[in-house]
Amino acid sequence: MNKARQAAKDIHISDNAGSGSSAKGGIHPLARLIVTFIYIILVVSFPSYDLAGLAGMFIYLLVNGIWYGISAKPVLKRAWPVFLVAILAGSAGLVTDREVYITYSGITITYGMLGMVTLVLKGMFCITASYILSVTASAAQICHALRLIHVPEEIIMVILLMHRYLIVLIKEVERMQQAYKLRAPGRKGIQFKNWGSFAGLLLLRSMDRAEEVYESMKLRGFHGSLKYPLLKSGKRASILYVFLWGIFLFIFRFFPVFQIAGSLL
Amino acid sequence: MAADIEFKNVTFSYDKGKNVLHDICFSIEHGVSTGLIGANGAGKSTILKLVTGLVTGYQGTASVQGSIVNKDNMADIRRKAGYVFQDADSQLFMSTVYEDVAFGPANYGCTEEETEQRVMEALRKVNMEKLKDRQIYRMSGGEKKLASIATILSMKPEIILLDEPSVALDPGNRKNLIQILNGMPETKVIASHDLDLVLDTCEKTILLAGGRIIKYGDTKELLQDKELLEAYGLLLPLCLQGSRI
Repeated sequence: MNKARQAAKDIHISDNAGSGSSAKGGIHPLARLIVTFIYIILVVSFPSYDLAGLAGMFIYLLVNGIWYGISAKPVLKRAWPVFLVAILAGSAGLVTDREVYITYSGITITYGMLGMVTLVLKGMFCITASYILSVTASAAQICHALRLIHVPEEIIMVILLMHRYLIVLIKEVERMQQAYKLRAPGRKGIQFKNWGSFAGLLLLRSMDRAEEVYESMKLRGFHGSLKYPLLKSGKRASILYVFLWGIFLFIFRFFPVFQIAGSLL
Repeated sequence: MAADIEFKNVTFSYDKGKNVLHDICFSIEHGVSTGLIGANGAGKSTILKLVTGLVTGYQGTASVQGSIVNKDNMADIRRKAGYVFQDADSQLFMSTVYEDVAFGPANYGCTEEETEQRVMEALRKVNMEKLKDRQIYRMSGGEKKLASIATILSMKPEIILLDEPSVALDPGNRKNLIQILNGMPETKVIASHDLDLVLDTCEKTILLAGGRIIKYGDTKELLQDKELLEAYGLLLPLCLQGSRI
């Protein structure tokens, strides 16, 4: 599939997974946003070598992944740049932190290695949690949640308009790519000499289209502040969702659950 | 009682220089469906945009239900007059049909319940209740066009302006659109090259050429005037051309 089309499809899918007239599972987007925020903060706060403790945080991803039917493939596809950055960042520790953590069957594991794996996992977990939020709540819903926690309206507007403009831009790229390909069969991508005119035209066309979209918004009462159709969501279910996940995540962050469980067995 | 739309000696140009509209005078009464026809560049879309204040800086007087089209009255006018864009992709910018149709009422301060009620009512009018949760990017051209109309109907306008509503519709969707338009009691202004659609939906028609009104009159009468139509780059509606086989 054309990359532009795939990108547009991804945005729409992520937009639509959380949209509709009722919230999935009756959970308000704000509840999901709060839990995701808590999750990311707690994951990042784990000590550099606490791999066992960090592993417990995977349960949150697993439960939500199963609950919302999210497969690992798209997550890995999106997370690989973070994966690479984390490996690069962690690789410094391989050189500087050579103290032996454990030797098992002749294989030595250093603290540097442990730190790198922890860093990679932290990155992966945070990306996955953000991905789960993005496919279970649309941009409009997340912005609505941000508004409820009194994030300045200007910031929310910028996020929403950028989101809309991105879709417009990608659609124009797709149209122009198709037109180009049909008249340049057998060529891979757009020739370098055409990049200038392609980019210029893309900007002009997407601006025209964005202007029309903006006009359409103005004609339907938009004057600097977006109102969203509110979702039907269960207040009790949402509070319970935050409460239970909050307790679960705090326990796994501050208590060595696996060690306690192991000592009991 | 004031006409729903009234233009008195309206002249307009996008840039200083060539006028796009010259001394336009007409009035459209409440509940009347009016066609705007003319060759490309005749000024059809400009008139629609001028009514909704999308283009400003005209000379003369344009008014909607007695309110002069100017910055001060814009919100009121836009609440009264809904504009359906030619390209549905420009009209629909939210993710799902429900969200898009709810956008207008929510912005005009309707409560959640009222918004939902308006959305369902608008979707019912265009026979799209079952598609309320449909993702817009998955919809066909015909469905998008009907959803575009629903986004306007949910604001309960008294006047509906449609720019080329039948463009890119297959015969089935076009027929469906005509039925829906004929079932709408609001004042309608339809700018179109599709003279058969105008014949089927409009009581009155304005023929434009070079930014001037050439004729304003009864649709059936005007669209049967072969010489007049041909003189301004148009042809008789297909249904009036007779069998050519």
